[in-house]
Amino acid sequence: MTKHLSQEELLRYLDGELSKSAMQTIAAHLQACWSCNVEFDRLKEHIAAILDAETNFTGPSAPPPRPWPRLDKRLDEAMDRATTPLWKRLFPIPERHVRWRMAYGLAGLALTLVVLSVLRPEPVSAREALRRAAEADTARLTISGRQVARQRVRVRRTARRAASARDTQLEAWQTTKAAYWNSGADPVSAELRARYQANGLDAALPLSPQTVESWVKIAGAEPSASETRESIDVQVVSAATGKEDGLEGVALHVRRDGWHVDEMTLSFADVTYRIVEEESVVLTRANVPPDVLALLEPQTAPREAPASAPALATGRDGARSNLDDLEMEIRHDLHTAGADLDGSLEISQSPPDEVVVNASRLPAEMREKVAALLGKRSGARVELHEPATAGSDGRITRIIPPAASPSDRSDPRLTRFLESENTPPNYVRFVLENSNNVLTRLHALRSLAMRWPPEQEARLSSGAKARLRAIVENHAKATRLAAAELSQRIAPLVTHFGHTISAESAVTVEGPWQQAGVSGLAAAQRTDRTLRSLLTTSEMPLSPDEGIPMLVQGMRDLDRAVRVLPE
Amino acid sequence: MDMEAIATAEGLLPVDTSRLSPAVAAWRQRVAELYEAHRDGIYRFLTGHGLPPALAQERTQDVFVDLFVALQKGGRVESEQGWLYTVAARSAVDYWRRERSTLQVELDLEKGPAAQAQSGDLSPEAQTEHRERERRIAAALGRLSKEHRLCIQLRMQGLRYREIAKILGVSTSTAAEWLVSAVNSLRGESQ
Repeated sequence: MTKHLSQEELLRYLDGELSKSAMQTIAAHLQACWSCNVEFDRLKEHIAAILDAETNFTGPSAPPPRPWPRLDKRLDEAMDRATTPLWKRLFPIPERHVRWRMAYGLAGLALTLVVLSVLRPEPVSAREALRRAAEADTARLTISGRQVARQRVRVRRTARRAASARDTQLEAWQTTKAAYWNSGADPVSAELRARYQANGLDAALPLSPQTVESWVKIAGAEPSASETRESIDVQVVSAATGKEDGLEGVALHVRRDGWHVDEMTLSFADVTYRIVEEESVVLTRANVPPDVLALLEPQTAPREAPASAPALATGRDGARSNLDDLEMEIRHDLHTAGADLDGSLEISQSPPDEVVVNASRLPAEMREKVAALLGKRSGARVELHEPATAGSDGRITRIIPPAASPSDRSDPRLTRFLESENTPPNYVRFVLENSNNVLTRLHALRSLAMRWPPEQEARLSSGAKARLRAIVENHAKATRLAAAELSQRIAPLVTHFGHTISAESAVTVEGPWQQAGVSGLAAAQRTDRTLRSLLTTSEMPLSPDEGIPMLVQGMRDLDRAVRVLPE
Repeated sequence: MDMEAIATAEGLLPVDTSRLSPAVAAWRQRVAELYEAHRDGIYRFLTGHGLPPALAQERTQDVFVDLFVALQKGGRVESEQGWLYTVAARSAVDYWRRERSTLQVELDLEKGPAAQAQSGDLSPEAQTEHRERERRIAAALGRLSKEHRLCIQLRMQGLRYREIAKILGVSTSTAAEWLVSAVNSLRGESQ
């Protein structure tokens, strides 16, 4: 053996990028030379590590657009181009010596234009499409005091970072005064309902003119449209105000025949819901099931069953109420054990008399704790394995990224502050840990808010209500403490750049805790993103001039939300 | 729901496919499926190579339209994913040439869901060490020159050296040198 193989030779051999004879020579060398053989294995191992790093650490980019623009119009245009002969595109005017052909051609063109003008659908703007659809759909769904509208929709929930989507069907009923969504124990419907309620759509159907108008208004931006012969796709990419509410955009599918919105996609920062109408009908009250009517008109039918009623003896509502009680007891115990803090726990009801706790994604130690706590409890089923249909979107795992090294930071003022004697060591790490604590508690609160929106909380028995209250108050207290710590921690940073974190102490804020949980989490997420952009090797670095005012605003919003939480 | 139904509901296929020949309808369906599966990846690839978000969005759609046109013209596409990234890479290189910009890349070192998944084969210490190594390599990837990084990413998509060279407008031996240099430089960072 004369000499060892170079890295280039090894890589080219690995990639099959050598001549046949060179491949054979190197193969023979590798068989004969231990040293090169080991080096070859190391190279393969290193390439595997590069692949893992590239796959696991996402690229430096703005998040992809949500919703994505549709492709069909572009494909149609491409098809048109492909089917038109090149000479016709290059030489649209015929040769001089075939004038008669030109005459025929022009006549044909004129005729085509006439036909097209008759057949071609009238172009309409996005606003006009929305106006016509609102007018037609309002006429279709208008109800009198003696009628009830029933809508069935299909909802597809896609979490932004999850590979899988979840589908569900939802039935909703509406009178002139109230709406009832028969979401059962389905978490997707309950979550969507909570989003509607958080935006003031308590008494709306999932897909109605009122709903469409409200979401478009919340997005707060000018709609745009793309048309096909049969339909118009209206898109609204949220303005800054809409994004503050967590809404990234709204997409609507408007059918030209009858001007009807039959599909709406709501894109939030973390999740997208596609709501497709299956049926909308107006019924007389006589055709509405009495239990649904009772839920729509609570004054005529008290719903809350006594907490002590036997599970199956009191009919549907009673059984449900007892299952709620059981779920709340279990939630309370899990909360006391600290198992509800990392967002990995999934709790669902399995009628008629069981509550399922999936603890498969908890850390091993906590999993054992949950199994010991609930293993022998009547009515509780603990699952320690991954459910077949579960997505991975629920888990909250936040990795605190490394602080940017001084050379990464372009702003010398920030470097001066972080390297100053007055700034404690590991400052960035502590700030991000504080922010993480706030997020953890608010995630837990939002999760409760989604599960028990105000109307469902109102239906709980007094015992379950008290337990829910206790959990919420505990999280609220911890949130307040964590937010105060965070505020204290970042105050010197903010002051260094000439700003102050001012709490609006004179402002009294009221509202349901559910809404505060949702808006508090949104504010905490904004603050966390800003901190990471300012202080770490972030995908979207911010200068202090941009970032500090955002930080101040984020903390103010967080403070406002935290005030609403119960003491 | 089958893929065609999903694609139609997404607006990727025309509502009425009966007006299309079976072959064209099949290509449209295939492009719709690929668009659904790869649009985010292509978009990230393009923004990662310096294209502003709006332009990256436009170019992402172009990539899929180009694929459709190629299929329609009877072009031979051996690896669809490789084809998509080849066209996207050409877009990125065109953009560099037009803008003559230097690209400073900082990778997102906040781990995504895939990175958070636990590997059952490794002890917690080994996992931490493994991730730390990955993080160092990811950071080093961000520090590579844009040409070297593109070489690595295209090789990952299965492109041959001559194909990479063609995209970058250099000789095959230069592309090979860049690739070796990039791999060696990442190796130095990871140890």
